Amino acid sequence: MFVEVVRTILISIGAFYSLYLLVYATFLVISVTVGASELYKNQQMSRLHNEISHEYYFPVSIIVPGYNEEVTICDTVHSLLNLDYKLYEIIVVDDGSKDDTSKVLIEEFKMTKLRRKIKKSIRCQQEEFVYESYAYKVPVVLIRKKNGGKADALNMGINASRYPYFICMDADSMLQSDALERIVRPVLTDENLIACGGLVRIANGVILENGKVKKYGMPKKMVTAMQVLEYERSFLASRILFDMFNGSMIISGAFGLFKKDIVIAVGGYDNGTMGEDMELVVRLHVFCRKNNIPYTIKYETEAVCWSQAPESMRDLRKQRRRWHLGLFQSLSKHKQMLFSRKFGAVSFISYMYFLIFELLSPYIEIFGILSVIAMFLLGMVTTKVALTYMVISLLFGAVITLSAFFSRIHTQNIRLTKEDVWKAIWACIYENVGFRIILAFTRMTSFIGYKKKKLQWGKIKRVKLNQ
Amino acid sequence: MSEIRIDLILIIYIIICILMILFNTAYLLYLRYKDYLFKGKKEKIRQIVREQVLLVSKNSKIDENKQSYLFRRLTKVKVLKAFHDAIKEEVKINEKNTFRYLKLCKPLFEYVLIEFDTKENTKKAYLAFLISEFRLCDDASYDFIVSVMISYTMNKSVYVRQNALHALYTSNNSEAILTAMLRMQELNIKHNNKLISDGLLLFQGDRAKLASLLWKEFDRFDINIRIAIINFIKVSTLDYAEPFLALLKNKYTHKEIKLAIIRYFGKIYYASAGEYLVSLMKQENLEWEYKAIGASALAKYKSKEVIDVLKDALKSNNWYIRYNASESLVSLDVEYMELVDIYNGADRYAREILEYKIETARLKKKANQGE
Repeated sequence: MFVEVVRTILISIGAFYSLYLLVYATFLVISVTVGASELYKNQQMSRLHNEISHEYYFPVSIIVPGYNEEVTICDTVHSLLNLDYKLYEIIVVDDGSKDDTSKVLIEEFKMTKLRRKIKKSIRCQQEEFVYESYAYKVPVVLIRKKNGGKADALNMGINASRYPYFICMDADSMLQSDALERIVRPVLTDENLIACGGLVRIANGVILENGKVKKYGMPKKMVTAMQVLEYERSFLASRILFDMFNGSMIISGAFGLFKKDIVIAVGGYDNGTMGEDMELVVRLHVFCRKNNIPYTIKYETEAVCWSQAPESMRDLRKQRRRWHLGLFQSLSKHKQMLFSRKFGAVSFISYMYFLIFELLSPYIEIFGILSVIAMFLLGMVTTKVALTYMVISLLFGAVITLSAFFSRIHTQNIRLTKEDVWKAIWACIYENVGFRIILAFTRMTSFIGYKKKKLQWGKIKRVKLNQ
Repeated sequence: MSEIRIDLILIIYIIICILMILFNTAYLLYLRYKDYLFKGKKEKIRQIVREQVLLVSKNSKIDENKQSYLFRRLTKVKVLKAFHDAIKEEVKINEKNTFRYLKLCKPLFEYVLIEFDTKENTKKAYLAFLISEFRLCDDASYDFIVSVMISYTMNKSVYVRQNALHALYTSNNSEAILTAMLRMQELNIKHNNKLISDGLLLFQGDRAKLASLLWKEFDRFDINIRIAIINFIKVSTLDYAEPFLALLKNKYTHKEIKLAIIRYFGKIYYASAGEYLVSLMKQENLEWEYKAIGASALAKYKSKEVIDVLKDALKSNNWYIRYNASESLVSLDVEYMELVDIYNGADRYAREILEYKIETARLKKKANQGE
């Protein structure tokens, strides 16, 4: 009797897992195909000058929140001063760092302390001091405040910003010299645009000179190389496709443009969430839909930000734990979006995608694999079937990732060395054999001990950029 | 059974993905091969352009056979691009004669425009871009290219519209610009007002004439375009002080237009406007935006009354009014003794913001001296 029950449960799990795989595979194929063709179309349009190239756009505030960023912060600000854009300001918010983040900035940019009081349109921790410098092509502002987390630091930056649009970016990232111009262009073509995400790419292995890519190569470490492929796949899978129906639910904290007044209207970044970047975008959807405000949230694939990826499995797992918790918080906080006709495709496609294929996927994948193993041990499936199933699934994962990767490379006119091509192929195989399972397990166990760490900055080991 | 089917579907997906990779690779190779084949034709076009420009520089007639060669081929985007590249090269060497040659190519482009009529918008946008780059729009009372560009400004693609507007700005044909803007208005085509006001500044002809044409039809435009026109007049530093002041005083004028006019008076000095702005600042129940922008504009009008009004504005509950008033006081270079009551006064916010602005101004001055 007991064995029968176990068999029935295993068959149900197996059937569910198979169905899940089928739907996910279908989604991936459709999104990668649509994404690749969309990229190709964009490339053609750009080649034929179908773009808004403008002498003067509008002023933008760039907010760089940082915590213990003494290693990279000066490089980041220098790279921001190299942007091909006329009117902007750089605001660095030091969120009570324990290292010399503020000191190195003050010395490097010869900043002067001013008696500036920040107007608090959004609640945030009190500033301790403000330094400014006007010795460069645009003003550089440093605000040191009491520690309150990344969301709190971003809110301080929004409060201090002078301009109607702001960019949020990570202190360990670098913008390509045309990134700012590219990310503001959509505002001129769509007056309802309230937020625009840039393309975040992995900087490890890439050399930039004056904000332009001098050398592109796959990172040396396999952990980082696998992330490159993962980023490209998810970019095609959930970014471009969702963009087509205004369904983007996440704009990376590493690089995004926002309309300030609407962000202030929704109360700024949420301090109690780990994934403050996603939560804000979801909240903007909710706010605009509830108040019948016409809006657009989109992606600009040509606005590129190069960001450091974790180089060790430990750092990577830390990062993914945070992301998963952030995803959970964002989705659970806005659960009213689920099956709501008011939210249309954002509810039925985007929300469902993030719920099933992102939030629940580690559980489904791990239980699915375990059930296949159990079925095999109980003699419910033959070795041949189990092996075929596994090989085909892994092969599919590897090939879809490769096709996404090569589509990106092809549409960006990047030349890869033979060595890099082989590395990409190997990384795809590794990713599907072990990497995915380790990350699935990490995400599955991310809730353990999260209360203790929920307002801390997710730190990874920093190295100097552009090396 | 279901497992087998899913496996089959996965295999089909794998094949699709492999085909995508193969397609990418094959397409890349195909493009390279096409480039290789096109190399000769590209070189020929380059040679033709070079020779024709040379003939123009010698004041000789251009070679009609070579022009007919271009006639037959220029309707293809690839050839257009090759022609564009060749022109870019020539402009670097011999700008004046290249543009003289391009004027002689007008019939050729008229033909291309007819051929492109049924083509997709991406290509039309490119053609409009080239017409703008080659400055092919004339100020004649009727010009075929201009009339097509006007029709392009009503296209649903923002890129076609923008490139066509650019093409019109490169001419001195102010009537054509007015016609395009009025048509866009009639058809309720939304084009970003920043693009319009900044675009108008690219106009190569008589700005005063264009401004007067736009002003005559001012009431026919919607609020956004009217603001764009005011901004164009402001940046062109044209004197519209009197009619603008009348519009500002009119109680039926839209708020955004009034704010744009106040900004205009912040750039163009007009004594009567200064007096009116002071009276606005003194009104108690006025919306804060008027006072905030008014406080900024008053930086242009130094007088005892203005300083008093700005000092009062420093005590406002509204941060933006305080901020702008302090900035104007600093920019007016008001003596310390005139501000001593603020420094020693009980209003901490007024004092802090003024101190901050003074420090900032000092810092900017120091930075400028350093340069």
